[in-house]
Amino acid sequence: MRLLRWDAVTITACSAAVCSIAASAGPLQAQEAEATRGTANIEVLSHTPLGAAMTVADLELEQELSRPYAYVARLLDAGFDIMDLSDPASPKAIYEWRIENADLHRGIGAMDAKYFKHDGRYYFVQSFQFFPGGPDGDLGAIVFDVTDLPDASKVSEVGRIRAPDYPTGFHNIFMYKHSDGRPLLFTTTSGPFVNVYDMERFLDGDEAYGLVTQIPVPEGPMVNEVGINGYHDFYVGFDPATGQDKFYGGGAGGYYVYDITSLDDMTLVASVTGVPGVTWGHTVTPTPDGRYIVGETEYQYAPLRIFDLKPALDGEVATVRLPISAWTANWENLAHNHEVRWPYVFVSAYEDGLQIFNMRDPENPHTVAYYDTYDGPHAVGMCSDKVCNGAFGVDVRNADGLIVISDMSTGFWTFKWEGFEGWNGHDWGMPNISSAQDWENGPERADQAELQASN
Amino acid sequence: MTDRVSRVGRVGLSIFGLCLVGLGLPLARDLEAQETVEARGTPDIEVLAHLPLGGPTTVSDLEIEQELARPFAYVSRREDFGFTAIDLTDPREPKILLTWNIENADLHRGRATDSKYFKYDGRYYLVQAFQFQQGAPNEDLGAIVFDVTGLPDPSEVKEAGRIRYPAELIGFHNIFMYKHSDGRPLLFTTTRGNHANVYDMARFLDGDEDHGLIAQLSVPETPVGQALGFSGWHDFYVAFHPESGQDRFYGGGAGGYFVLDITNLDAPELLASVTGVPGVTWGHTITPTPDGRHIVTETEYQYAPLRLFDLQPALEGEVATVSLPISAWTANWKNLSHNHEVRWPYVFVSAYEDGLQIFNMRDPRRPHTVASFDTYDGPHKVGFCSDNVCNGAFGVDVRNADGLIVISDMATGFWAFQWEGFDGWNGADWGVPDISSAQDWERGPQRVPVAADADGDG
Repeated sequence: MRLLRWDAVTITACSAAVCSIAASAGPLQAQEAEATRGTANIEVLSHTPLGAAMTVADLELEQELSRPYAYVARLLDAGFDIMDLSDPASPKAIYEWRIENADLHRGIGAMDAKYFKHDGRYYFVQSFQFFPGGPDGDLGAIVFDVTDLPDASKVSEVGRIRAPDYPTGFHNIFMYKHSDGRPLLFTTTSGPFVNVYDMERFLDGDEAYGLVTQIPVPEGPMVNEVGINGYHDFYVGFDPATGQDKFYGGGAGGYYVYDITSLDDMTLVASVTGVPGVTWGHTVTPTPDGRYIVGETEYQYAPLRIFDLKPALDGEVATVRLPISAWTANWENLAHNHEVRWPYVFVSAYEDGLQIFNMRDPENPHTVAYYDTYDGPHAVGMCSDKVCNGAFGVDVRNADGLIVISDMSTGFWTFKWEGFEGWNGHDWGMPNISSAQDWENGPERADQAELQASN
Repeated sequence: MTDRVSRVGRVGLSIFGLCLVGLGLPLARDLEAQETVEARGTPDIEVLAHLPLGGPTTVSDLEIEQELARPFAYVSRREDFGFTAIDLTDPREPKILLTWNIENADLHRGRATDSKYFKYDGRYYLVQAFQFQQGAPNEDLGAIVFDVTGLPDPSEVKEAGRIRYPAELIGFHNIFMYKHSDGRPLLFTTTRGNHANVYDMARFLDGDEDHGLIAQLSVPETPVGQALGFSGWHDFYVAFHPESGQDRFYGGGAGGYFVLDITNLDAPELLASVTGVPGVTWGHTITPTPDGRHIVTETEYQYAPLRLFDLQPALEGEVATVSLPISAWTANWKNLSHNHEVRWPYVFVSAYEDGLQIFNMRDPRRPHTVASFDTYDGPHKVGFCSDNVCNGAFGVDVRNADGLIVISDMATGFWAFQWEGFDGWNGADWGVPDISSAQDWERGPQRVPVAADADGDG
């Protein structure tokens, strides 16, 4: 690409003839040396610094345009901020919540953030991880009623979810509207399973916080012998082709897919294990049709690997052992969370900021846009290898294509990507399935999908 | 990239100049077309010779003798179950002197793997390792030793004996020849078990019933090794450490990488380990720097770079084990690099699909490529290993006397190179011990520590 640009410059110079233009070669060469922070097709709508480095973790963006709110988890500050995006080019921090007696707490603080709507009201779930020895070692999450935003005075705490049997809280959470209509909260634990809470029961004051089931990590050598247990992260999506609610989890030994249509009778339908370089699955996101997954493993030099689940789903292999491809922004760094809006994957790529790649050909993913939200030094962050710094979380609003990033060091960002005005799976010949839930109607079923597609 | 930009810049300026003399756009288009031709290597790499050796995947590792008076290289013939001896009297015109294949080759299933030579009592020997599957002939065969003293006369090459190890079948995947500080020529071999075998080749040549087996070096137990059922070593390197006066074994295997003091083979001692490294459950290849402080390591899967570790915190007892690399290098993150020869500050890599690669690790935290030549011009992922990326440049070796570089490519055969400005290597020229895989078979390892600071970091 760079060669072509130079050639064009050269030809232009020659055709303009002659040598006065030769003098301009110097300045042009100098311009080449300047690093661009992003691609020309990315527009930075806003940047809101949020304080000291390492105080920002994940984020969540509400999907309805009439509720333009984003929630940013404050890592070591142990709380969250609410951003009003009525004007995405000029976001306003309208609310700030921090745990009481913050100085007494020990731990990572606030980690993941998700919202849901139930019975006409909107709720925000903030997960926490505090270590034993300080207050709230058993606290997993706090639920807030945020229905009356933008009036911040009406944000109120609804309740706290505690898990005393497996302390140190919830590292990741996911909210899913199950096909049976229940709003379900999935949470990591420090045990070898995920907790699933029926948030309707939680809101009704259930003594067990609405806990309805646990999804285990299938047994394997990494679980049994190495002491890596449990899930790190997960995604839940409806599969219109089979009519199944599917849980996609990354954890000890790799990645696992469960049919959780019946939470009382869950079935492992596919696994990705024994993959060279993957002993612990981190983040996993499927494509809308559930055929491919994008899998992260959390260490320096690891690319995002893309796996084709079909051989496992069809019963041709017992487990998938090799990726069909991989993508990285920079092989010396590490890419983190991702949101799939087929054929695009939006990545919060830590030190490489926002990255977007195209996986229309899953065997040949390629970068199509980026913006480097992190401008700090290399390897001064978290994780054992210190490369966990920069863009932590990413989210996409399907209604208009607004992209938001939470950067551990630089704060909150909003972007527009040229030509991406929103996302609906049907526009791409896919089920309309993403992390964004339809809290009113639940997941789109096959018959609905056909109807939508024909329209 | 910088080189490319500046090259284009030079091209641009040349065109400006040519515009003045009226040559104009047609030439610009010609140059544009030329730019689209991919360079196969850097301009500082001279291809001295390329010798195709038959069908793909019939070639594996190689070895070059170090004495200029004996200009011979040995290429393992993977699926031909033998080796080819090549005469490099004129490196630009290598000649095949001998191709040896195992008897009744059609009955065998397996491969010829690694090759190493040694000199003992005035004679030269080649050790060719094999791995034959159970149920086929020679399932207990680990290596065959040949007397190659009479080269270049191939008729003088004689089999000196076979090393069998029936206790654990399937032969030896990798071998290493080392002149121990006690004077013995030692052969280190992988086995199917959780240990390396050590053979005293003097005893072997004397007809010892145990083939000269004198010791076994076990892989230290690790949780990952136990959990995944990996056992044993994959590859290793042995070198004298002048500063401590120790003979040191560097092994890659189940759980990571390990350094053992083997000065006394009856009482080997674990000095340092590299375990619990994210992305590394099974160490593959390992090569230390001449001073033994840093190691260059490989893990055998697609997307894995060569990782560089600083052993000092472990050697000095500051940490129980090293769990993070200080840096990494790769020719192409989508591929995989394989074996490597360290000639400080350079590392010569047989980088599978990326051919010969040379990187500089003078600053071990910032290794960078300095030269390359792509010996492999075939398609991606049609090779061995579970992810099919094991194809192309398999083995690499460097002749210290004159800097001759040789590559064995699984698909394209044997290559000889000269790297501009690299006319040989002696550690003293770089302020480090004169320690590499090349042995001094006459005198044994250099015992004098080098005072100079190899890293330049105090």
